[in-house]
Amino acid sequence: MPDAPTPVLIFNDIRHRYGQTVAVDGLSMTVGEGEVVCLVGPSGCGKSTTLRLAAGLEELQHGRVSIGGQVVAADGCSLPPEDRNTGMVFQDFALFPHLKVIDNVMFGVRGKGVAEKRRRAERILDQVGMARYAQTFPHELSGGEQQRVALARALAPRPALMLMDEPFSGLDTQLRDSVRDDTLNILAEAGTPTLLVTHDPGEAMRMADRVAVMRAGGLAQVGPPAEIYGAPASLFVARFFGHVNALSGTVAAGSVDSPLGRLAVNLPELSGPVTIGIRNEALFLGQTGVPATVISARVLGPYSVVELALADHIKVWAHVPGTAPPGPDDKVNVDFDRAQAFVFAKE
Amino acid sequence: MQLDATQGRPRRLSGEGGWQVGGLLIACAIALPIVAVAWLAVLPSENIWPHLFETVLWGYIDTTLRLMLGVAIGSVVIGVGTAWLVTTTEFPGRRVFQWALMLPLAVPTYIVAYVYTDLLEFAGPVQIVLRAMFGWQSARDYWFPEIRSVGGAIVMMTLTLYPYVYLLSRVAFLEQAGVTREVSRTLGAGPWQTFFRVALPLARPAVVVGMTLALMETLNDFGTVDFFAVRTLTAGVFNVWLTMGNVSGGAQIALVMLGFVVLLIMLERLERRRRRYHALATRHRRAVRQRLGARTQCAATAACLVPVILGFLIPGAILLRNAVLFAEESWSSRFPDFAINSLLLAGGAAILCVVLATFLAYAVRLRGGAVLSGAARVASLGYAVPGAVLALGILIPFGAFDNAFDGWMRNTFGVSTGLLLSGTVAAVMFAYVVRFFALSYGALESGLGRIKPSMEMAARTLGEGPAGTLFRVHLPLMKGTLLTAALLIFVDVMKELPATLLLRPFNFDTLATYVYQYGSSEQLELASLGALSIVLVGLVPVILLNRTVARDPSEVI
Repeated sequence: MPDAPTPVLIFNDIRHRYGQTVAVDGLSMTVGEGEVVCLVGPSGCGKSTTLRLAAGLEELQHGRVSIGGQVVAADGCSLPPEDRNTGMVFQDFALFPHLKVIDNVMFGVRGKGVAEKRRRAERILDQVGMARYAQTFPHELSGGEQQRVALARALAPRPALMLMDEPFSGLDTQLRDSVRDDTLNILAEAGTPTLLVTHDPGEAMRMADRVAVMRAGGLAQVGPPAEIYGAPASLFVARFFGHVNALSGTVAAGSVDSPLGRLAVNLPELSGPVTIGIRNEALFLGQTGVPATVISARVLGPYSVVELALADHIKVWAHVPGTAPPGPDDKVNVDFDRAQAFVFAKE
Repeated sequence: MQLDATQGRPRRLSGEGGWQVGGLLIACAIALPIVAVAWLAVLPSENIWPHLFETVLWGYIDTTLRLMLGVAIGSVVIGVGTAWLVTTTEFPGRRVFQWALMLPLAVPTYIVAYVYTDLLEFAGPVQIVLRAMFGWQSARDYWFPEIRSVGGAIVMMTLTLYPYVYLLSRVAFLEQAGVTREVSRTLGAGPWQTFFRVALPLARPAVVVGMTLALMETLNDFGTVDFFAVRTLTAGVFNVWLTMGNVSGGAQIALVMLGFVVLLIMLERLERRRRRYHALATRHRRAVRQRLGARTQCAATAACLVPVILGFLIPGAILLRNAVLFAEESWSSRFPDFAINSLLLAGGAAILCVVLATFLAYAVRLRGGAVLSGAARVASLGYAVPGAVLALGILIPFGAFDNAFDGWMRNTFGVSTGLLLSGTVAAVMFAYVVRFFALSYGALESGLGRIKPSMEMAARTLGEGPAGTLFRVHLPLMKGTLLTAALLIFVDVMKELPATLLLRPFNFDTLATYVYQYGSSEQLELASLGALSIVLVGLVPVILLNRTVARDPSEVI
């Protein structure tokens, strides 16, 4: 594994509550030089609060936050946002409606004179491809254009850290992928480490160097996308990134018998009753495996989803390729790819 | 992977503490007069409560209650009725009446009182014509209503104050989805039934709020009740304080008035909260207007015409005529001086109010907290406190300070400083700020509320502190709100009478006090230029309010 990049943002045992509700509960993580880390999780898991704590928009109650080697919040003392040298992009972009695009981008730039600030703003607008819109007002721009201006405005002051709060959820779905790719390129060119908060697992997989999965105020798992998807630490993480069949079984002598077949388990700490998670796309219909009856099948486009009944009235779903799935009440054999099956202790 | 970064704590600097302290100071300063009145009334230098109770207090209370009842009924009937007609039915002239019905708001009650007294008294043109027509010789030969009475005062006040009820009822009817009324009709309720069982109950909170505003103005009025010799509580304060020289007695009457005020405020706040549940969230297309029968249409037109004629056109015409006929006399009787005084005071108070309100509203937005919001709410009570009570509440601490300081200076330096604060323009300005602060604060509170929080957060992450964000982001976005608030305060200060009369420096008059002096000595013609200016200035908020209702009714309250 290559050396981990030098950390720029460090969260150390962050705790935060709103009244009686605990929003963040003992969170520790880092964002390193040049990295894009996606903080992802279901609504209400505390990811937005974490981002706001990094920005200084919330007063830290417990723990320590440091940015670029300097402690910015600890033990009830917080540096205010204007002194933290972070850039932030908001879900609704928050462009200043009374300022033209060029003035928006110049807003946070501190420099010797207006000319120098303007040059910097023009350069960064060029980088995001919005140079020719410099003299327009935000309300005249489309969603994608506004997002790019918001990005330019946040990057113009050369922040040590970029924070993004669901920056693509305000855009049309078709637009999102191209805007995401463009954003990644711009961030890579600027080299600014980024913490991006999203509720969309697909977005996290697409954009992140590392994914941090949050659940109920804490981290469920942190790692590169391949690791998150291929070796989830819990059923929750597995479920978050795809459809998973959850089956019960008991570990005995290094393997477990699931309703779909035997699976080898080489984790010595696991024994007794366990939950087996098998991704829907791990299942395939063919000659091998266990017998099953088709309950229903739907063609979704890239694949078809087939609902199957196994022995003991256990239902599983399979994503099979092609547009000609079996019909209801057909008898088939279903087997699964052991590489996409995971065993977890029963929660 | 290092999780422990360098040691050390960041310096404590949020920059927002100053706002909280400043905000509290402002709120406390504005609440001071009210506290002062309560203090003095509870601990008087001489206790005349028993004497007051035996003699004049009940009379004052009784008259005030009768006045308020009359104005309440009159303003609700006229205000709600015309608002209903104008919003839901179609009749000739409806489009004009929509805005014209608000015109009487521009004319202060005391000016209307002077005009109609001139017109309707024994020696006035109306009675002269009647006597000529019917050959009556003296007052014993016929009956004519005496305008200088409680009844007359009720009519005068109703004519100028019903627009409060009209405006708010109109907003309420506009906000009600027309669908509600259509549903009511399909369920078998005729138009009258729909009005009484559906539309009116739904609009009740707005109607009550409008009515309490009108009643607060009734309590506040001095010019009319003084001229008509109607002994209300305000007149009582003036009488006991100025004529009898008893400040404590005046303060005690003022305390009784505060009791009325508290009840009115409670009623208003209660109904404002209810209004939130009554206002429908969705915006529907406007309902089709009801077609009225030909005779009903005439009645509707007449019903709307009468308030406009009586409340604005007649007074306006007479003032205009007098101003033209007596232009020279008006001008030479020091009109320019008073006009300048009024303009300076009004402009100064408007700017001061807006600045202070901006500070306080922003502080509340930044820090929130029960103490600061509570203090802001107390500071917003000034609009309900009658001018006479306010004047007392200011003169008492100012006078005490002046005496104490003078005493100390004499003892220490042998120099008498005399009156430093009392009887100065500062005292008058302070009264205006306390009384009209609520206007600017309410406008700014809702203006700030319309700015998305992400906008400020963006500015903060881009390196601006709280002050910088206010100046570079909030204020530019609220230019319209600030201007409107300043204008409304400007106009209200120009019309203000009771507090100005009591607090102004010696030989210092505004247009309002000048009109009062000449009007109450039945020489209104000489002050007609002044009166006309006040009315013209008073048209500005009418125009502004009209535009607001047309654009977005929910912004009015």
